[in-house]
Amino acid sequence: MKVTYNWLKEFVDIKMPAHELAEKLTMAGLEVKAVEEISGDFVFEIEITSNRPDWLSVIGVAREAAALTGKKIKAAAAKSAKLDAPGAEKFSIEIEDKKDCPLYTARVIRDIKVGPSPEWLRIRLESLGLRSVNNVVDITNYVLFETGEPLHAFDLDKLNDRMVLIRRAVDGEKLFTIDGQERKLGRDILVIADKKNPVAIAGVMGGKDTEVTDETRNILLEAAIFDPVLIRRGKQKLGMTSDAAYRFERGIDPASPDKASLRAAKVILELCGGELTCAASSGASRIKESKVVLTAAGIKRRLGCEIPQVKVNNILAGLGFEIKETKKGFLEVKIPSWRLDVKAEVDLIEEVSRIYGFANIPSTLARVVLKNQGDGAQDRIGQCKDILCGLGLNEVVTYSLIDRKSLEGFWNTPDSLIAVCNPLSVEQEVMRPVLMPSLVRGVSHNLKQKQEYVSIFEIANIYRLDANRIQEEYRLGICLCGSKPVWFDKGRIQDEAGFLHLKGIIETLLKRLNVRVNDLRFIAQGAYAFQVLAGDNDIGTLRRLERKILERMEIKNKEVFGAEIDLPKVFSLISTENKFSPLPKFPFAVRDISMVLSEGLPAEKIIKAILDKGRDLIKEAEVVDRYQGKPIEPGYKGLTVSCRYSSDDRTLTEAEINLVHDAVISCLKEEFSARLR
Amino acid sequence: MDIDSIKKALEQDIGPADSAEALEELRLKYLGRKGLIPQLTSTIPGLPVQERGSFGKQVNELKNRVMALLDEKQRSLGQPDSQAQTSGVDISLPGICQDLGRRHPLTLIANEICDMFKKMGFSVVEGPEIESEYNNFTGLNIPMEHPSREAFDTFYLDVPAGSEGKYLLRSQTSTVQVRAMKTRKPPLAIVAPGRVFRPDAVDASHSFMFHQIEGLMVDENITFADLKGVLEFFAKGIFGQDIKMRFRPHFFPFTEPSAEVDISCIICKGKGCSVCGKKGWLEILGSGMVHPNVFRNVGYDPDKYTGFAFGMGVDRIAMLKYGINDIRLLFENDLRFLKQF
Repeated sequence: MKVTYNWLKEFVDIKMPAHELAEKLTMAGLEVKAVEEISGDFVFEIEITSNRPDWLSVIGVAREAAALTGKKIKAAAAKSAKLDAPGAEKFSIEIEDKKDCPLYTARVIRDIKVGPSPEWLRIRLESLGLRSVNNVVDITNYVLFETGEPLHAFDLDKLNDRMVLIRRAVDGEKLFTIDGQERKLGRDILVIADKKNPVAIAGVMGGKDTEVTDETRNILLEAAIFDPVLIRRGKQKLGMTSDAAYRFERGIDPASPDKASLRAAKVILELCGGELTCAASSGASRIKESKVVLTAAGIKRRLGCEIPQVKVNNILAGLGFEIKETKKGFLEVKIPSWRLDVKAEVDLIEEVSRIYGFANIPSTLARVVLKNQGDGAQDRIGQCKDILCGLGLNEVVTYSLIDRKSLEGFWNTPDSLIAVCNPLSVEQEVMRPVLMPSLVRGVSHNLKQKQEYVSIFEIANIYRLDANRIQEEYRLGICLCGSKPVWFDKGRIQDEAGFLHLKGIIETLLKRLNVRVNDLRFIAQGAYAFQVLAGDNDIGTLRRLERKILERMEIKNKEVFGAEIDLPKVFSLISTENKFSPLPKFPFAVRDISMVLSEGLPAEKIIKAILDKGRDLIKEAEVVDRYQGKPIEPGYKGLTVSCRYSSDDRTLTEAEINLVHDAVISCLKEEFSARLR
Repeated sequence: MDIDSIKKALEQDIGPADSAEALEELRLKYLGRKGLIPQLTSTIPGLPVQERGSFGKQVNELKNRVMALLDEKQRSLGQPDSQAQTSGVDISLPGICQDLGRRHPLTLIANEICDMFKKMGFSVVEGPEIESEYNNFTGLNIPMEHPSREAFDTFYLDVPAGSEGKYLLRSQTSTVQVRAMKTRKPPLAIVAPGRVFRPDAVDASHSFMFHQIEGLMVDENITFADLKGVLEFFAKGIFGQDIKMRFRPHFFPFTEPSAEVDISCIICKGKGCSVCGKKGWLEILGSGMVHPNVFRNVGYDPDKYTGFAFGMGVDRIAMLKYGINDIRLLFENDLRFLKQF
């Protein structure tokens, strides 16, 4: 909204320079975004909050300036006999529904002379960015900016049958508005109509046929109140906006139509001549007299400081509130008609604190009462992120919304998807039920940027309908692709990401979270995935992405491996127990077994057999090497398992160890046809 | 070969060995996996029990002797001790270490902000992203006809409405205020970080998904002065002790009085630049005293309790702090970007 410095000065005796006033207004809640010097005046561009439609006028801003500077606002224009006693001419106003239009006023002015506006008026409107049209139209605009009440002037002689009807448009009706556009109207659009046709879209814009031109001699001046929601919906539907609609949709001071209409009539008589021959109205402005009590105690309780009573009184009086001190510390405050927003004591406290200045309120640190407020999962999630970053994975943030097409191959129950009613694009069709497609897309983006190795994770929510109930839970998603260079002393090798990398990440994560991993199992599910079980709990899936999905994501000649883990389930398995185990008192001995085995034989079977056979002496057995290729013939693999022998109550002798070790080896030979290397 | 013949062979072998290669050959011959000494060791299990001990001891002595001789010879050959040398190392080669992954800049900033409030006794809580109309609007004193409820400003979901109205994607983390107060009694001091959604067309400064942190403190005798003190502690902790702050009156339906908080521009130190639009100030958050109607909606007595609430955009603060000029970078997940944090 724009106002000018000189215009404000017509209502308040402002002594301070324009920039200082702008700063004061900003710090009172009318944020002055820009001050521009135009034709010797300063134009303030002010951002007006939606609760203060009364600020959408020069008078409204002037009231603030008055309260801020301790000055009185100058009285509204003097009355004149000519205006108070209009002629006896009749004009008919019919309102179809008083809810749509609580009040409609019309003044008829005859024998005017339409022409260019005087320079002062033209300059003032132009400094607000408005185009001067003619004196009548300019005056209605001028009064709109001055008072905040939108006005419209019709060419009276173009109206059929000396009447207006405020009604809903009929489907199929059309109107050429003054901007030259043809508007298609309907039941949800409120119009001003004459006997035959709509002549204006109520509260938004007038019609071309009835606009005031240089030929106009007689005018009908409209000032009304329309239902804010109806105006907003109408203008949205028509894709229109106007200074009038901007004000109507925010709410109009119920006392203003008549005042503004009188003010405009006065200026028109002065500048265009003519005679006021009729003042008609229909409906009533609902001005509710309301009073609110403001207490000194209330101010202190909310603000944390006292404000002297004199100061409080001056601030409220300056803003146009009528005050009466009923007893010490109690003010009875009468709310003016333009303050539709003030309903309770807190609203008055806001008024007082705003003008008093937030900067004058002290800063204190609240006294905190220590209390267990319950922690969410944020700490645990943070711990997971630390562990995963430590393992070289990078955190990503991807959109929670996704298109159905991207879910193909990831989600096969479309009925459980939660769709968005009003997406802006197909990418926002549904809430994602899995993280993986978004992560694969992240991989695809990075491969296009020529990244050799992509390792990313995200912890975010997934959403689905489960028996018509909305389920929203967080998941951990991981994606690996490509090969990572691993340096060692003699050079580097390429480490190609695969299932075992995912497994390693998940095992490490679980161990670090203190989840037992002894009963962690990976069960093949079809040709591309493993289900991850911790005991009986399904905690997630590992998968290798199918070729057709990768092609859809524009990933060529690369393998992508992903994991999706049910973190809430994992967190439920965290053990709070973490007992220390005593260090061994007796030394241990290590024996390695290098063997050749059939390729398809899982390592865990060998380990299990070794531990079983090793009875209590083999405490640990782990795979320390694995090899395929020459000189081992195809279909076989080399495996080295390291066995750790020890006892809790004695040092084991060579003989004891050898006895068991030989038994282990013969077992491996017999059961798995292992050949020692 | 028995122990004695091995000893003899060793005496003969060690003299002529005059190079590192020759020494390595000897090391393999005696100590290698199939070497002479391991061969001796492997015979131990076949010996009578009473002999095993003394034989094992002799083998061990022999092994020590071999190692000592080899070491001595190596020294006499004047072999450089590689461990004590720096000349053979090209220290300009890349260091050998696994690179750590990075946290997303939004996580870094959100943590930094939450930590600041934790120091003051706030707890971090969270709420769902799919919300009811009640928690997103009605409970927060936003009138039925308020424009923010329209489909231009809020994503609605195609699921049957529940007892708290239509389902939607929360357009602000203030929903957590309502949730927290519905289930807990004062005193209350919480911060809630999370994703929020609004149907904005994506460009350099808009995203249909972004992040906010909401804060709420409620007790008897919580005042606007406390709001100022707490937010000053936070802002100075995040942006530096030397910043200036101002509380500018504003309007939010769920607070009264309401204030927007500006800090002196961290780029130009308040002189005016393109980042702050020549104003010298950067708006960083919205705040205010909880509106009595919000307390009534959650069943708190507004005559007994007062409180303040605040909310801020994490993406915006991350962009300001890291100098990121395009919000889309935060969601593109380009590793070249992510690895800078």
